[in-house]
Amino acid sequence: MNEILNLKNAFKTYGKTQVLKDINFKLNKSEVISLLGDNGAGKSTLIKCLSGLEKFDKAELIINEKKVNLKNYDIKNARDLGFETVYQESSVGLEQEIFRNIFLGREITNTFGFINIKKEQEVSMHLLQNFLGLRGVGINPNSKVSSLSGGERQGLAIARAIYFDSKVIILDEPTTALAIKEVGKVLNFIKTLQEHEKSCILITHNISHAYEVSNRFIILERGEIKADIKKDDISLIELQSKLLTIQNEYQ
Amino acid sequence: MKKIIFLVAILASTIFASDKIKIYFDAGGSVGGNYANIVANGAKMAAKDLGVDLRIYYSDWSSSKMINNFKKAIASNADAVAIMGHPGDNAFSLLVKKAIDDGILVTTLDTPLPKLQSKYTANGFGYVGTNNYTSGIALAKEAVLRNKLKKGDIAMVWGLLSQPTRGLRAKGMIEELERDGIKVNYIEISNEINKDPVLGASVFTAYITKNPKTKLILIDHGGLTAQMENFSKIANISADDYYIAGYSLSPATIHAVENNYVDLIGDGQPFLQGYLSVVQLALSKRYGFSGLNIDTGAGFIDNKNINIIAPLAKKGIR
Amino acid sequence: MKEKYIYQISILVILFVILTLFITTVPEVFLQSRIYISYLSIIPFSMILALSLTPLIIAKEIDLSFPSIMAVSGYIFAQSYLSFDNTFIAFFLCLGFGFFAGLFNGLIVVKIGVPSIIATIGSQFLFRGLAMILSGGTALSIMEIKESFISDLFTGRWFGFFPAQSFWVILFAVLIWFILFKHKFGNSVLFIGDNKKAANMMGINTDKTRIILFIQMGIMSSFCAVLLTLEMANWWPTNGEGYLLLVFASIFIGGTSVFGGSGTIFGTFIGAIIIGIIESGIIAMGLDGFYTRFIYGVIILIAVCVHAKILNKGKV
Ligand SMILES: Nc1ncnc2c1ncn2[C@@H]1O[C@H](COP(=O)(O)OP(=O)(O)OP(=O)(O)O)[C@@H](O)[C@H]1O
Ligand SMILES: [Mg+2]
Repeated sequence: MNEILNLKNAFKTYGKTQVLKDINFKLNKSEVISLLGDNGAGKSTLIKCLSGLEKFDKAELIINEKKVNLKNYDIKNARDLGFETVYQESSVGLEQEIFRNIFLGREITNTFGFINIKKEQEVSMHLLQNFLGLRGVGINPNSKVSSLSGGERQGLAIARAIYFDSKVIILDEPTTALAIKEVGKVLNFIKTLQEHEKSCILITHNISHAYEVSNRFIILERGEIKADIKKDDISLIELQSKLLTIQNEYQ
Repeated sequence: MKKIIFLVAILASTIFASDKIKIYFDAGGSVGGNYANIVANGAKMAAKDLGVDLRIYYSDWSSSKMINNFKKAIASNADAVAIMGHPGDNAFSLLVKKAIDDGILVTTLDTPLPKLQSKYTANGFGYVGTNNYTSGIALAKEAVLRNKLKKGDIAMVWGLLSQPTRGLRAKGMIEELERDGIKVNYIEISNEINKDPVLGASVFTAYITKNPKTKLILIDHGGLTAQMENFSKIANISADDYYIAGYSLSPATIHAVENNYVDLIGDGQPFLQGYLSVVQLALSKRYGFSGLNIDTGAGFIDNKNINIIAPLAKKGIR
Repeated sequence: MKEKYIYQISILVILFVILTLFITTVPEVFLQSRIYISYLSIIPFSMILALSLTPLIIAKEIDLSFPSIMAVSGYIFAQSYLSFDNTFIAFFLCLGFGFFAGLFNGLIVVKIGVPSIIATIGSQFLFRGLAMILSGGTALSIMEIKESFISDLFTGRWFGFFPAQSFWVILFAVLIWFILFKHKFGNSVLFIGDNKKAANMMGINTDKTRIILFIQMGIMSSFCAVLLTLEMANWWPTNGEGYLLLVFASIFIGGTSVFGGSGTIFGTFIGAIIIGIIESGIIAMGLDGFYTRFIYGVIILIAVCVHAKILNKGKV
């Protein structure tokens, strides 16, 4: 039982634009896939549909060798199946405290739904220090997210995804706002996933980052998969030129 | 088959309707208003009694709506129209002239139109209603008389001076009281209290606590008058502590009068305004009588005549 | 955290200043219990509405139809009491209407996608019209209800002086505070107002949450109508209309942001008290009633400026 996800014949349109055309791909345990492609290729759309935020028009989705009922498939569903996503767009509430942001949607509660705020604050503190290394003055779980820098906010979104110990982590351009040191942390984290038998789908425009951490590359162009290559079969240089060739074909 | 019956019914109704006098009637307020409702009830009963084809419209107490509704009424070949006089002589003069030239009778209720009335009395233009100013004076006079107030006594007036025509009633009260040498504390009814009278409880409490020597309280507002029993209880004052007079009969006011919390009610008898306007128009149309001038404002209610009046209030007559 | 307390303290200071002014200028009124009893009798009405509306404002929605929901609910309460002579049937029919009215607003806003300010302006007319049609415009009197259990329970005078409605409004304030800031439902509300897209991405059912907020507002408007009708033993066709300004003023004086995402129940609570005492204070001071609006304006502006100043400081 190596295969975690298998997507077959997936289609998606926004109004009249066909954004995804007949997408087929698999994701295995302990595998890191990089989704590459030009702006507007459909990468974000693909993972939004996979994570339940948007719906495919038509597709067959098999997770853990079980067919998923796409009608009822939503974010809660995806999370229950072990999928955790960090979206490209900001997904934090700026006016809310850090701890509330971390636990949004899966608060630590008692049977009546009341939040154990103390517990959430403790865990958040731990996360802030150990993952984000935010030991700066004034930063604590009760700070509003608006008091964090752009990079720190993105770090927070990633930390949130990591905390909940999921089987598959989907990261849509997670490093764009980060300083070199923080980028290193995120890449390191992705590498450690494999040791814990977890998988990852990474979207990035930085090919050397992608090459550094992934086992496989999927190149998406105009909503279609143009290449699906194992790392062992290609060098960084070759990958770069391949991507360029594909993109140039469409210019 | 159904269609034929339907056609016959329409035909019949137009033939019979054309026999009847067709009167358009402005009830003044909104469909829901308590006052407009009683006026309309009066008009309806007159229409029933006299076999008049009555069309009631509502103007939400807005002058421009009153004018517009009147225009529509003239346009839809009415025999006669009862208008509310609020927009004034000037606003109505051309329209009324045109209507009367076309053979449509016009009369006014609630608010008088003195110029038009003197010009067209012979054409059946009359007036039924009360005058805000004189009815304010009348209530104040009656209250002073019954209460044996003297020079230097203190009275509170709670009214709506800032509203153009409506304010005349409070003005009448104040002037009458001051003529009698009574010291008047005037309080304006705020917009909120105007709509939700219960909000007046703390204002009343504050006033009474500050001015306990007040003898007479005049309230120029039906909803507030109705709340006086409740307010008195909230302020912890007893039924006989103050002489309270106000306007407009509602079930709560009746209760308050029965329990002596409210001592005197001035009644403009709106039902009569509706009824008599229609009667006058119908008679003038049929027999060419000239317009009548009727003041309905001299109604007073206290705990001696309340038992007769209470059941009628429930029916929307008083 | 600290910044949050500054809000609460600043609003308390404003209340304190106003009260001190009243007590020093007219001690004969403000050192007597009577005036406070009258506050306890009537402030709860606008306060309940303001407390109930605060979460909606936090979620960046608005409901302008509550005065009209109150009108219909009050009518249903009074009329069904008269028809069935049973206060419990009347009570539940009334709240039932509030539920459906709120659901109606919620569906139009959330499912059809009409902005709530527009949708509820529309439904406000609809409900007001309904009240007029149902009642034919005549007021209802239910004097006998003063003897009933439900009247004692909700608007009776406990221990001979304490207006029961004050107890219920305080209970409601505590409850709504807990739900907003300690319950996961409240968490969703805060995030919806802050960043609805993010809330969606984090798996919050933003549609359902917002519909529940509208329903809650509907039910509480009906509950307020019950209190009002019991207190007055009377129903008027214009019931509810006077509360629109008072309720919004209470909320914004209290420090809840128009931009959504943050707000304070304590602030709304104190805001409602401030708004509730001003007019009578002005009358007691012997000033013209015409000053009331002016002073509302001054206080609202001062409060809003203080809040904005604090907000900006927090953002540096
Ligand atoms: N909500 C939407 N409505 C309409 N069109 C959309 C929507 N979201 C995306 N699109 C269109 O779908 C196409 C794919 O967008 P998508 O965001 O998936 O691209 P991407 O590969 O993630 O690009 P980037 O690298 O710039 O993030 C684009 O042409 C975009 O304009
Ligand atoms: Mg993208």
